[in-house]
Amino acid sequence: MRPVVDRLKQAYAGKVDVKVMMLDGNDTEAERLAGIVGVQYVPTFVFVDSNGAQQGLVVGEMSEADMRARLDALR
Amino acid sequence: MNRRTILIGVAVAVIGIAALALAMVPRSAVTGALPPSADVSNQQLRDLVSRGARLVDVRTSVEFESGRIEGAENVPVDGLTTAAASWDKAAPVVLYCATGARSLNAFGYLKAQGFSHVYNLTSGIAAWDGEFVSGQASVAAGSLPATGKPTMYDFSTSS
Repeated sequence: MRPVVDRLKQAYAGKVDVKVMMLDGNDTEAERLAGIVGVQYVPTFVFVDSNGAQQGLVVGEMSEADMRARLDALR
Repeated sequence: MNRRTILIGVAVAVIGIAALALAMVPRSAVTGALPPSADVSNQQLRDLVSRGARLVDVRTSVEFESGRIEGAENVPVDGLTTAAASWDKAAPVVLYCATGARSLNAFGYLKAQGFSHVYNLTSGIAAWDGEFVSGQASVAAGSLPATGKPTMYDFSTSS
């Protein structure tokens, strides 16, 4: 999954921020945001529009095509 | 008294002694002594809870309400000091959080306080494969920080 996310992060640079939040216990901000969203399983992908409104949440692996479709739909 | 009567008497005596011996076996020998404090797997958590361990979810109340392991009580880490003050330090306590990080801190705290049987679910509820109680709590849109740009958050672990 990591190569896909890294690739799309490059591809959508300037259009969509892709933030990787590692829940390994060392990143308190990632833990805090995971708490806000209620992340229970990893990976969990959360899609937020430019107003900060949550537009989607996907738990589990995603295909690159599905992820691109979600990113393209964000405004 | 014939030979048959004697044999029956001996058999009854043996059965009686065996029953008495079983009744006198310490409970720990029947159920197995509790393991020492440690990280535990999903299956070990189930075993401990079936033996009466207190199951404590140290995540926030929002996380807890959104879903939890069946039978868990919610004691967020910032309320653990107060809550644990009234707990029996000899009774087993199993802790978990989202990924095992916050509960590891709680694990260390309880051990330092003298709890003799404390356990930490290694990978948290993120890796839980058993009964799961889904909650009704929803997350308000906009709870994540707005960056002014569309954003995708990828919550993952390195493993």
